[in-house]
Amino acid sequence: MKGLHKYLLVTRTSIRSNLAYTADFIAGSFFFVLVIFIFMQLWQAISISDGSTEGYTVNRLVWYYITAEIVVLSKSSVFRSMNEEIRGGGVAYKLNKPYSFVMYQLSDGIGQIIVKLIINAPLGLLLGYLYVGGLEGFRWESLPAVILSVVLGILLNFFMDAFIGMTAFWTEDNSAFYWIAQKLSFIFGLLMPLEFLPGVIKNIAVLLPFSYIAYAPARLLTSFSVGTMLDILPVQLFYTALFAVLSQMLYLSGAKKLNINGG
Amino acid sequence: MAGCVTETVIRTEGLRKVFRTKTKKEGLKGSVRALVKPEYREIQAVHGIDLEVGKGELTAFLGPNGAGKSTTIKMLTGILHPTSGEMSVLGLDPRKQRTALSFRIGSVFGQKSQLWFHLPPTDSFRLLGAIYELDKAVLDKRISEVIELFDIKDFIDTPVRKLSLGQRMRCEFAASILHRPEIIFLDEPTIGLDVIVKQSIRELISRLNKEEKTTIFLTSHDIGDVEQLCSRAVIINHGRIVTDSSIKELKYGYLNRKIIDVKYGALTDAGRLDGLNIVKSKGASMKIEVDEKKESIQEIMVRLMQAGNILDVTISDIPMEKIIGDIYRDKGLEEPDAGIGPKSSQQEGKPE
Ligand SMILES: Nc1ncnc2c1ncn2[C@@H]1O[C@H](COP(=O)(O)OP(=O)(O)OP(=O)(O)O)[C@@H](O)[C@H]1O
Ligand SMILES: [Mg+2]
Repeated sequence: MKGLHKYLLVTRTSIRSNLAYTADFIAGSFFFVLVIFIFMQLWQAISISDGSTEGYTVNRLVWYYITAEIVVLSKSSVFRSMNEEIRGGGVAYKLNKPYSFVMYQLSDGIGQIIVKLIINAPLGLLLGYLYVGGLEGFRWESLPAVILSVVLGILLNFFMDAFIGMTAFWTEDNSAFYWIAQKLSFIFGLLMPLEFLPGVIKNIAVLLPFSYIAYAPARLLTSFSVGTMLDILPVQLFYTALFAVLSQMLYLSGAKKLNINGG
Repeated sequence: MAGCVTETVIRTEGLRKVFRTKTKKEGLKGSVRALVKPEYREIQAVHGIDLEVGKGELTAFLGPNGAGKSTTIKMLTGILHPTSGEMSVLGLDPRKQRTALSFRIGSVFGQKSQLWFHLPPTDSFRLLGAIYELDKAVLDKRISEVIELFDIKDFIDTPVRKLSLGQRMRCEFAASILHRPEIIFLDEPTIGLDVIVKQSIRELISRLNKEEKTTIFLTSHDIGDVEQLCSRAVIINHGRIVTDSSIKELKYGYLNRKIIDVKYGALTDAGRLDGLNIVKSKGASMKIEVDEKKESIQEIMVRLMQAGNILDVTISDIPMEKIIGDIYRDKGLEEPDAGIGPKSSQQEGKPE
C-alpha cells in the first residue's frame, strides 16, 4: 500500500509542477491547433482531387488524425530527462533512495501526460467537431476499447522513449536512435493511416511496434469492429509490456555498470 | 576521537576502488584501435582505507581534488561497489542491503537538488515523506520539527525557484533529514557558496549534530568547514589516509596559518615589511604567510598598512595541498606523485 502510495504522490506532484509551466502550456496548445488545422486542410485537398481514400472519408480522416495527434503530442519528456540524469550522473544519487527508478520516471511521466491530455483531448475533440462534425458511424460501445488503446499507445510511447533513453548508460550519443524511432512512428501512423502505404510496406508496418502508438487507437476509433479490436489490442498490449520489461532490464544492467564503473 | 566508548556506526577495512577507463590514442587510427582492441587504464581512486566512526561523531573527510572523497562516500551509501575490502554502515552491508540502508541514512551531494523547482518546499517534503514511507501524523510532526530546527517557516510555501541559494540550501537540508537518518553523508556541502551562506550551512550542520545527535560524515576541501564544525578530521590524498586526528591537534599543528595577499598602489616604507614571511612577491603584490601561534594578524595588518598605500588585500586559510605536504614532511614520508598512489608499504594509520 505504502509502496503504491509513493508513486501516486509522485504523479500528483508532477501534475502540480507541470501546471506551473503556464507559458509552455499555452504554446503547446497553440501548436496543437495549428498542426491539426494544417493537416485537415491538407487531407481535404487530397480527397477532393482524388476520390479514393482507402475507405476513409474526410470526416473519418480528420478524426483519425485528431486521435493520432492527441496520443503523440501527449508524451512525456522521459527521453530527455533520462539522458540528462544518466549523462549528468544524477541517476547515481537515485540509487540510494527507496524507490524504483523506472517506476518513479513512469509516475512522473504520467503526471506530465495527464496535464497535456487535459488540454489536448478536449481541444482536439472540439476542433474536430467544429470542422467536420461528429465521427460518422461512431458507436458508444467502442469507447472503452478506444480509450484503452489510447492509454496503451501513450504508455508504449513512454516505454520506447525510456528504453532508448536508457541506452545512455552505454553510448555517448543516443539521440540518433531517438530520432529514427521518432521518424518511424511518424511515418507509420501519424503521417497517414497505414492503409495508404504500399501493400508490402503496410504489411511490415503492422508488425512493428511503432504503429501501435498512434495508428492503433486512431484506426480503432475510425474503423471500429470487434475484429479490428482483436487485431489491435493484443499486439498493443504485447508491445507495451515488452518495452516495459526491456526498460527495466536495461535499467538494472545500467545500474550494475554504474555500481562498478561509476557515473 | 574514535577512542571513546561509543557504538561504531561506520567501519571499513582495506576499502579499495579501482576504476577502469578506456584509453584512446589520438586520431582516426586511435579511434579504430579503441574499437577493435580497447586498452584500459586503471585509476586507483581509493587505496585501502581503514576507518571507524562512532555514533554521534562529526567527522570531516578532507583532501585535495581527486583524493577519493566522493568515491568513498559513494561506496558507503551503496552507490558504488568497492573493488575489494570490507565495509559496514549501521551494521548493514551497503552493497547488498542498499534499500534497507537508504531508510536509515541521508545524503546531500553538492548542489544536486532533491526539491521540485516549480513547487514550494512543502510539496517536496510531503513527497519525500511518502517515499520514506512515513505515516501522515509522523510526517506532519516531523515537518514542523525541521521547520523549527532550520528556521525555514517564512519561505516554506514559496516555489523553490524564487528562493535565494541560502534559503534553498536550508530547505535542501531539511528535506534530507525528514526520515530521521541516523547518519548523514554530506559531499562538499558548502562548495560554491558565498561566505554568508557557507556560514549558515555550517550552523545547520552543527545544530543537526547537537540537537538530533545525528552522526555526520562530510567531505570538503575547505579547511574552514572543518575548523568550525568537526571534532575529527581524516585527511586523504591519492586514496590513502594521510592523517586521522582530532581537530585540536590539527588546528595547533597545521591550521594555525593564514595567507595574506596584498597589493600596493605605492610601497613607501618597505622597511616595515622586514621579518615577515613573504612567500611570493611580484611587483607591488605579495603573498605573506602568517603563523597565528607566533604573530597576530592584527599587528601584521597594521604593519602592512604603514608600509604603503594598499589597493587590495585578502586573508585566506592555507591551502589543503600545503597542509598535506607539511604532514608528509613531518612524518618523514615521501609525498606521492600526482596520479599514482605511493608504492611504499608503510601503513599510514591513526596516530595514537
Ligand atoms: N567514474 C569514474 N571513472 C573513472 N575514474 C573516476 C570515476 N570517478 C572518479 N574517478 C577518479 O577517481 C579519483 C577520485 O575521485 P573522487 O571523485 O573520489 O575525488 P574527490 O576526492 O571527491 O575529489 P573532488 O574534491 O574533486 O570532488 C579521481 O582521480 C577521479 O578522476
Ligand atoms: Mg568529490
